[in-house]
Order: sequence, then structure tokens, then C-alpha cells
Amino acid sequence: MKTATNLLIAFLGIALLSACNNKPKEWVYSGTIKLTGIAPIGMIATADGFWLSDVDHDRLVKIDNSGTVLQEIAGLTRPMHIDGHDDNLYIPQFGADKIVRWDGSALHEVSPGDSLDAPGGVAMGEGMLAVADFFNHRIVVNKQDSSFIIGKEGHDNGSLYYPTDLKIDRDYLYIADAYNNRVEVYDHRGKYVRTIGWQEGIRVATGVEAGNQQIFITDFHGNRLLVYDVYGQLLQTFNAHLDNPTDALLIDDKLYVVNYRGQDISIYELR
Amino acid sequence: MLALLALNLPARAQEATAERAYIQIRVNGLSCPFCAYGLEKKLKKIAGQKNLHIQLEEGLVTLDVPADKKPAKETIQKIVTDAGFTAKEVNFSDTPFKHEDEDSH
Repeated sequence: MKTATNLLIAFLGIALLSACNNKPKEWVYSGTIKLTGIAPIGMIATADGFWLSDVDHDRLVKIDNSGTVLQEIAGLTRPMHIDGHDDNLYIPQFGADKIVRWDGSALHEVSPGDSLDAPGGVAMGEGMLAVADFFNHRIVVNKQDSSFIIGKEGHDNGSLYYPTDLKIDRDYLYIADAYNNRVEVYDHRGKYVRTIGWQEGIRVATGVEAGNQQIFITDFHGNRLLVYDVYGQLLQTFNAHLDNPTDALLIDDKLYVVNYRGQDISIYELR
Repeated sequence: MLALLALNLPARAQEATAERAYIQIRVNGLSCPFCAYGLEKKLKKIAGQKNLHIQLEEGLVTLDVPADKKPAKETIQKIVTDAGFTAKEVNFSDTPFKHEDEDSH
């Protein structure tokens, strides 16, 4: 009887420890990359650092992991949310209604398939080039040399109001529907799927990042980052070291968040 | 000849300052860089505009235009409204407006 009791206690102990170990991990602040003379909006990773759009100074800068500027692409017009694909950088020129591609040595104009009025973000993936067309309240998608439009001006599900950023994964397009204070999700054919973040009182959803298991929204005036599962269930919000965040970038188990006003990049780790 | 040039100088200097009209716009709802640079893009369509300066925190825009092409207050208000904002105040001047963020630098 005593042996059975001991076995039961041991079993319960192991079960308790196991339950503790299964506690969901949360994003925790782990450091900052200070920037000097850069007003960042969008960010992508490179092998040895990051490319940032420096909107106030009409340029892109490449920095290393300590924030030192390694390279500059000057002469742009208000570059916003950028993307990279096959060693090319795709840059929306918000003030010039153009998308340009940087191949490492020169800029080339890219046709998105329709006219734009202040492109706020560009995304490449799954054979598509998609552009957040800010003043037209829509997304212009170019796929296999034909184009189609996602969204129309409005506040209902499936409508957009000043979109600024977007990401493409293997199933969906995630759109930062900035002044509807939410993220809208569409499939690759442009069919509305779901809305994320509409209940959380976001104050301008300027940026979105899509990981395999989590979706991230930057809340510009709320100085928050909101973390959701892929179905739109809120998992975590945090505001540590955020100052007008505009973009988030997930690399392995690290999350990098760009702060426009703070002029730095905050780093978070899952613990 | 030199005397003629000397006589001409003050007149030309006066002409140079008189040929620009200075505009200051107070804007409601100008809150993020997308808004600010969106409005900048729309205001750049004003003929002959120069020195367009936006102070995000203060919601204040200044620019100057050729005096003979000075747009009407209603035209400026429409540009601001079409960009998604409200022009709370539009002021004109013959001399440049001071930027309110100059003191902080």
C-alpha cells in the first residue's frame, strides 16, 4: 500500500513538472539596436545585418547587428515597407508612386500592374508581387504577368482603409489595414478569409509580420506589439521598449521591432 | 554703369522677397509618417511650391509658393481634406513662418 502511495506521489510530481514545462512561452525583451540619424519604417534581414527604409532621409540603409551603417541607397522618395527576394530589394516609393528593385548595383522600376497612389508597402512571395496602395485603399497584386485588386475603401470585413504593409506566406496575404486598426487576411486569389486585431483597440496598425505559428501587429500610437495565433486568437501584447513601432521581423526565435520615433530596433526572445 | 547697378540692387532684393507667398497650415489628424508624407505628396502638386516642411508632433505644415500663383484658402483646404485630414487653420504671410520645431534643435 505504501509503495503504491509513493508511486502515485511520484507520478503526480512528474505530471506537475511536465505541466510547468508546457507553460506557453512568451516574448521577452532582450536588447536594443541603437540607430543614429535614421528614421526607420520597414526592415528586412540580410546575411550580415538588416536593410532599413529611412523615410525622413529618402534612403535605404544597410546596418550591421550593432547599428553601424554599412551601405546606403540614396535618391529615393519616401521609401516605406520593403521586401527582399532572390538577392533583390523591392522598395515602395511612397512619394513617387513607384516600386523599384535594387539588384545590388542599380535601381530598376517595377510595374505592379496598375497605377498607385502612395505605395506604403511591398511584399514578394509565392510568385506574387503585392503592393499596399495607401490612398486607393486597396492591394494591387501582380501574378504571372497579370494583375488583380484586393479590397475596396471601407470599414467592413473585406474592405480596407489606408493599408500600409503586407506579408505573403504559403497560404495567405496578411494586410496591415492601418486606419481600420486591424489586419485583414486574404487567400492568394484575393478572397477574404478573416480579420485579426479588431477587438484590441489598436491605434493605427502600421505593420504586420507573419510567422508559421504567430501573426504580429505593430500598434503605432498604442506603442504595443500584439501577438496572435494564425486563427486570430490573441496570445500576448507587450509594450516594453516600444516607441511608435512600424514594423516587426521574425528570425528563428527572435523578434525584431522597428521604432520610428525611438529610432532603434527592439529585440525580443521567446522564453 | 556701377551707379545704375547700385540703384537696381535694392529694387531687385525687394522683388526677391515679394515674389514668394508663405503658407502655414494647421492640420488635425496628422499623426503618423504615412499621414505626414501622404499630405506632403498631395501638397507638392501645388504649382511652384518650395520648402515644404511638416512638423508631425505639432500637426503643422509650412511651404512657400510664387506670390502670383498663391492658391485660395479653399483650394488648400480641399487638398488637405482629399488627403484624409482637416485643415484647422490656413495662414498666409509675405515673410517665412518660423518652424515651431526649430527651438528644440
